[in-house]
Amino acid sequence: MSGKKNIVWLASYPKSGNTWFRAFLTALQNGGEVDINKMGTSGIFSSKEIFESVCDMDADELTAGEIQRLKRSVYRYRSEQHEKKMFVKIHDAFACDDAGIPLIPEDVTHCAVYFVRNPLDVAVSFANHNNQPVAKTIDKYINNPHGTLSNAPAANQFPQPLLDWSCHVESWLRRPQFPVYMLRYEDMLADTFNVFKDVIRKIGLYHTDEEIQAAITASSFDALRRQEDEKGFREKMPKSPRFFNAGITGSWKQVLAPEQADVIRKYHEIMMKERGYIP
Amino acid sequence: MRNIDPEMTLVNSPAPFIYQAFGLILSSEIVFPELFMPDSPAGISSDVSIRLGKAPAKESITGTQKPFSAYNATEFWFLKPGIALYYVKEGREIVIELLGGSEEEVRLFFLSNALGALLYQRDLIPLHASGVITASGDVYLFTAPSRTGKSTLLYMLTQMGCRPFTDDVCVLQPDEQEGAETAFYATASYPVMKLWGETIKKFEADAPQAQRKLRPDIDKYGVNFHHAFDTSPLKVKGIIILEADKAGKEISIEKLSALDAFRAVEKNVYRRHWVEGMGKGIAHFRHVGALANNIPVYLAKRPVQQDTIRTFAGAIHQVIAPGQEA
Repeated sequence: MSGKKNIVWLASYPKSGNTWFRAFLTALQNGGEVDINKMGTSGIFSSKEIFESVCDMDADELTAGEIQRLKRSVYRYRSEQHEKKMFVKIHDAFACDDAGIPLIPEDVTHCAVYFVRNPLDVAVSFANHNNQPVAKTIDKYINNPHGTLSNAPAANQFPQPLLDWSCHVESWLRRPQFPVYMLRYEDMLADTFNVFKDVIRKIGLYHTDEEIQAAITASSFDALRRQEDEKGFREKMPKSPRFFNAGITGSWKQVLAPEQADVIRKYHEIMMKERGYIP
Repeated sequence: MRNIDPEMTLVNSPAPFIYQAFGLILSSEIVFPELFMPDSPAGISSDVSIRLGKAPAKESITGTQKPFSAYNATEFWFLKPGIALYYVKEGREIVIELLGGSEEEVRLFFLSNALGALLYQRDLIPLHASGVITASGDVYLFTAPSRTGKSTLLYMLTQMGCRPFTDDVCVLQPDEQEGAETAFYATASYPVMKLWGETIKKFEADAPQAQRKLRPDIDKYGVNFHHAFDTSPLKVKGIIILEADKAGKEISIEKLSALDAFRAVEKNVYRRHWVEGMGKGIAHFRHVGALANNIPVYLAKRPVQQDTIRTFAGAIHQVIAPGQEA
């Protein structure tokens, strides 16, 4: 084991600002430039391709239990191979295996940044992402305690257990033994410079205000959307019209029916109050 | 050629068993129902011996060290925890140390990894490809990363009347007789297609020939085609790169330039990440370059937004067997 604690998990429920922050980090480490199809971060925890290249095994020929156990070794190895900090995206809820051991290796983890967004807006954005009705998104994901991404056996990513929105937030903010820095999407939008500057210092990255501002400009919503329009975005779901859709807060007010908003508020009342989404 | 009885036992009395895979003769202490058994094995000299035994310690292998493998140009060590440990040496010897896996599991990781490493050690760069034999006896190969649909396409083409050549892997070698590496010959791996239960169900193939689960807890099956298997090197007529197209709405098939062909084929070498650690960088580059310059390479895109696999298989069938009805 390397003894290095250099993995920074970029964790979130889907459509909560993770990709935006990865684009910002890429620009920050790349002289203020970002290509959305060549992000400078180190992949996603659910990638079968990364797993296979380290394990030398075909992911589709392994059981779920084997994959859980082997993944920890994969990320310990990747940590050892990286001199500097590595940023790994993860949508899985923070969870443990049957023996109570966390599925991500805490011994090589530096910290996590957890992105949280109002579930009313998440529902709208996630529905667009999957090109499916909002009602289905609420039932299948937001309010589903067994919500899971990528369930098809031949998918390119392992299934990602999300749980419901509240449990996802709770899992990351309360269970890890390493520092978790929470960023609210709404705060990222309202005060981008100070929020981003504060979190990169906490992570242990040191950049000038000018460098931070240049990276923010390069990764602005308009800039990312323009790139998607010009050359597409490989992380977009095939059926979705676009990945960078609106990028604003409060779009739920125009899209959700009152009863859809109520069903989300009722299900997630406690966590929404804790995060400041319900007074 | 004959179909092999899938009944078997791991440690058997009349060992060694003689098999043929990738054009090599394997002499094995254990039975492999997946592999092809030559018609007259008596007296045949083997290229590779497979035996049960104790593998050396991982630390003794110099070179690349990964969590479950260690390798260099002549040695490969691979652990599948709870199943077996595999040690491959100098392209001639494979030792299997049993660690409690079932017979089919021990064989599964042998076939995907130990055999793959053996090919590298023998300077046979394997291509991640499935393929079919044309009416004239040449082969068309289709290559792509895992989970793009190679096995499904192979299965569908066999349903349309094509003769299966190989699934997942084959080796390619230039024809030295013809000189200047202008022609390439492919040798098949072994006569099994690996298909998801969902695929078999979807295309209504109830128990086609011998079919067995690859592992007890995984809904994936090996479908034998021993009866149609050809062990000889066959001339490669073309290579088709399969691409799942996220944005497109139409199936398209276009011939690639030599440069684009090189890039596309290079990415699809089997276990590409072994090339450097096994010291095959130069051979790999030269081999793929010659291939891309001399074999027609096509890019076939399939829109993934719609269920187009049947239409796609029909379009590929038109390239392979022009004018023939699928």
